[in-house]
Amino acid sequence: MNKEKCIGIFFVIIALFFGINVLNYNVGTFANPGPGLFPLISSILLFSFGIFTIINGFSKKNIEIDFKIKNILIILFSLMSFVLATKYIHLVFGIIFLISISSFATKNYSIVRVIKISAVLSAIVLIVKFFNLNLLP
Amino acid sequence: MDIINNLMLGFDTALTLQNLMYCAIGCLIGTLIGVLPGLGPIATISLLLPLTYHMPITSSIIMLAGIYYGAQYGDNVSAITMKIPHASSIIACIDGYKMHQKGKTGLALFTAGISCFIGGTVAIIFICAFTPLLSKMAFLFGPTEYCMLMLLGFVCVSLITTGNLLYGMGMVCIGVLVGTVGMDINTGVPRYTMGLSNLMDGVGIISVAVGCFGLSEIANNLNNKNKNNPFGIKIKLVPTWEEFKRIIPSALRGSIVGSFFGILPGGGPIIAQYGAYAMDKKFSKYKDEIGKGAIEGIAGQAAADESASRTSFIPLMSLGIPENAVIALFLGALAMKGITPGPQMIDKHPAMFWGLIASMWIGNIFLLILNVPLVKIWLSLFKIPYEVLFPCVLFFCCLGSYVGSNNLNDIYVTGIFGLLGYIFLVLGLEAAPLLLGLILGPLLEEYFRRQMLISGGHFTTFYTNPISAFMLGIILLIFSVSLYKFLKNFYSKS
Repeated sequence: MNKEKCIGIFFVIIALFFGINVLNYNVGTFANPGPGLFPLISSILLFSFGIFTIINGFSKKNIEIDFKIKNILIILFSLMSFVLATKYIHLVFGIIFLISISSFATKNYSIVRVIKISAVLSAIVLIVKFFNLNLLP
Repeated sequence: MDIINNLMLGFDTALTLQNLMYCAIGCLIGTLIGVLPGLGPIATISLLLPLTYHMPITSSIIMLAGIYYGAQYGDNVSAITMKIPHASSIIACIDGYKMHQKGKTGLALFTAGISCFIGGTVAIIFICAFTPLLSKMAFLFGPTEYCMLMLLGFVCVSLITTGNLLYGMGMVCIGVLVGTVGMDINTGVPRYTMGLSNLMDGVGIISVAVGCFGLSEIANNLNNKNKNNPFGIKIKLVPTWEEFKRIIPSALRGSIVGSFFGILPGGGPIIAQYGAYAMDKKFSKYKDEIGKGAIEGIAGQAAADESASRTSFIPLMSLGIPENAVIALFLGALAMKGITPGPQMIDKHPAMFWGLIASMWIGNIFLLILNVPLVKIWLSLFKIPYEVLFPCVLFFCCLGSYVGSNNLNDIYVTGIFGLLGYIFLVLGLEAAPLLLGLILGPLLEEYFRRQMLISGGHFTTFYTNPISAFMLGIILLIFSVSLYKFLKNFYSKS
C-alpha cells in the first residue's frame, strides 16, 4: 500500500469515528443548529478528503513506509508512569520513573546517567516547591 | 502634533528608573519562561498577578506587558531549537527547525530577535497612528465575515504549509473535530468526552502542540540518531548584508499582517503568523525556498507574532474587550486597581496608556540587547549529549502540559498526540494545519451557529455581504485551480 492510500484511510477512519459518534447528539437544522451539526459537517468533509486522497493514491507508486514504533512507545510508557507516580506517590518519584524508562530509548543505557539527571531535576523541583510556586503537580 | 505630545508623555512615564527596571524584569522573565517548552505568558502572568497588587498600576502593566512580548520571543527559541512550539510559534517550527538542522541555529535565533524588534516597532507606529481607526475596523467584522475569514485562513494555510490542498484540509478537519471535544458551550452537551471528566473543557492546545511537534520529533531523533549539533561548524550569529536584505521586507510584511490580525478577537498572534507565512510564500523573492529552511520563514512569522501581540492591546484599551486569554489577565490587573478599560480610558489615564506604548518600544530594545548574548547560551544547550538532553526536555514537556490546565491527565493527551504526531511525521503530513483547525474550530463553530440562527438557516448572507463574498470568491478560486490540477494529474497518469 502506498503513502497516499494510507493517508486517505487514516482520514476516513477518523471521519468515521467522529461521524458515527455524532449520531448520539442532536443535529438539529440549519435554522436551529444542535450540538451535532458542526461535527457532522466536518466529518463529512474529512471523509470526502479521505476518499479523494485514496483515489489519488491509485495513480501513485508504492513507497515503503518506515514506521519504527519502539521509541515512541517507550516515551508514551514513561509519560504514563510519570503521571501515575506523581499522582499516587510524589513528583520526585515521577521524575525518576520518567527518566529511567525514557532512557531505554537511547542506544546505551547508563544507570549513572539516569541517577544524575533525576537528581538534578528533583533538586530543581524541590527548590520550586520550596518557593510554593503553583507550577508543579 | 497630538501623537508627538502623547508619545512624549509616554516616554516621560516609561523612562523613569522604576518603570525601566520593571520593563527589563518583565522582558527577562518572559523570555526565560517562553523558552521552556509548553510554558507561556498565561501561566507566568497568572502567577505574578497577585504580586503586582502593591505596585503602581503603570509599573505593573509595563512589567506584565514585558512578560507577554518577552515570552513571544522565548517561544521562538524552543520552536527553532527543539521543534517544541507554544501556540504563537507553530510556524517557526517549519523553517526555523530546518535551519537548525542545517547548522544555522544562531542565524535563525538572531533573525527571530531582529524581526521581533521590527514587528514591535511597526506595531507601535500602528497603535499611535491608527488606534481609533483600527478599533472601528474590528466592528466591520460580524459572524459572516469571521466565518469566511477563518475558512480562507484554513484554505490558504493548508495549501501553503503542505503544498497539497487535500492533505492540508484533511488535517484542518481533524483539528476542527478535535476542537469539538468537550462541553458544547451553547447547549451544555458533552461531546466525544467518553465519560472522562477532564475532557469536558476540551483538548488543550499546549498538549496537542507539545505532543504533535515535541514528542514526535524526540522519537524521530532517537530513531534516526540525528546529531542536531549547531557546533559542527562555526557558529554564525549575525546575518550577512545579503541575508539582512532578505529579512527586512519579510519582517515588514509580517509586521503589517500582524498589526491587522492583532486587533481581531480570538486568534491574534496565532492567526497572524499563518497570515505572514502565506504572504511570504506568495510575494517573497525567495518563495521557493520557504518551507525548506529559508530565513523569510522565520522573519515574517516572528515579526507578525510580535506586532500582533502589541496591537492586541488596542481592543482592550479602546473598547474594553480582551481579545485573548493573556489580554484578559491585563483586564484583571486593571480591574484590581479600579480602572475600567473602555472608550474613555485613554482620556482618563493618558500617562498609563502612552507609558505602556512607549515602554513596548523600550522593551524591544531590552529584548534585542538581552537576546544577542542569550543566543550563545541557548546554543550551548546543544553541547549537552542528546541522551541527557531529551529526558530533560521530556520532563519540561510534561510540566508544560500540566501547567496549561493544572491537570496531570493532560499529559496522557500529550502522549496520544505524540503518537499521532509520529504517525503524521512518518506519513509526511504537516501538523501545523491541525493546530490551526484546533484553535479556530471552536470559534468557527460559534460564529457559524450564530450566523445560522440570525439568518434563519439561509446561506445567502455569505455571498451577499461584500467582505464575505470577496473572501468566498478567493476560496472558490483556490479550490477550482486545485481541482483542475488534481483531475489533470489523475487523467494524465491513468
